[in-house]
Amino acid sequence: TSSGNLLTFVGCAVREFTFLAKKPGCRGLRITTDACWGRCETWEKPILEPPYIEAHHRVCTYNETRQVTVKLPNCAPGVDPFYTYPVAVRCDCGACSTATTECETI
Amino acid sequence: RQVAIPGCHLHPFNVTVRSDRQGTCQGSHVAQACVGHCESSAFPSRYSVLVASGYRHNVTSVSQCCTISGLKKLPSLPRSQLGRQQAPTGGRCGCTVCGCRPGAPGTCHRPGAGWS
Repeated sequence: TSSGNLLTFVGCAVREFTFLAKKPGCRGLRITTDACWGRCETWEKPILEPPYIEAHHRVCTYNETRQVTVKLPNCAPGVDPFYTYPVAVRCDCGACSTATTECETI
Repeated sequence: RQVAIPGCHLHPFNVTVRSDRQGTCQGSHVAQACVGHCESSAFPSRYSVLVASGYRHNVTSVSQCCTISGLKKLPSLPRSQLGRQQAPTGGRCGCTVCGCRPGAPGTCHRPGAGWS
């Protein structure tokens, strides 16, 4: 996707993401995978009763995933060299589930 | 069909204000909501997050939501008209923290990670 389209994109889609997979005792491995990115509709409106604001907060997150396991390089003896991460198959706007997700906000 | 524009914008809507549950006296006024499309993303969690969550949080979501701030209450209107009910109004819109405020989780940036 061109950067121009990203500036105006509305919705939630699979997007390539690069990260460094690492854990103590191993060297890091740079991985490019599919993750989720977008702009979901959210709103807040004033209401007459406490807490006086009604909110609808939905975020772009994984809807369907598959797990991939890689072997990290140069692991110390006794350290499990395998690293498992999720790959986005489908992304959707939805609530951030604290059961499966580290929900952070800027 | 209307084309959505990224960002968070004021959006007028009608509010009905009643003097009591029966609606003995009622009136309406236009209030402003904030509606929009703010950026959010989800990606594989760092190892430290995995460990800290007992390997439950394998995904990290970083998001902003369209929020309203600086609400003001309307001045009291005569009880015969609208009772004591006051409708919050005004306000500014912006893409800020999602979820409960204040005390929402802070920022997280991951060195060496990025979108293609």
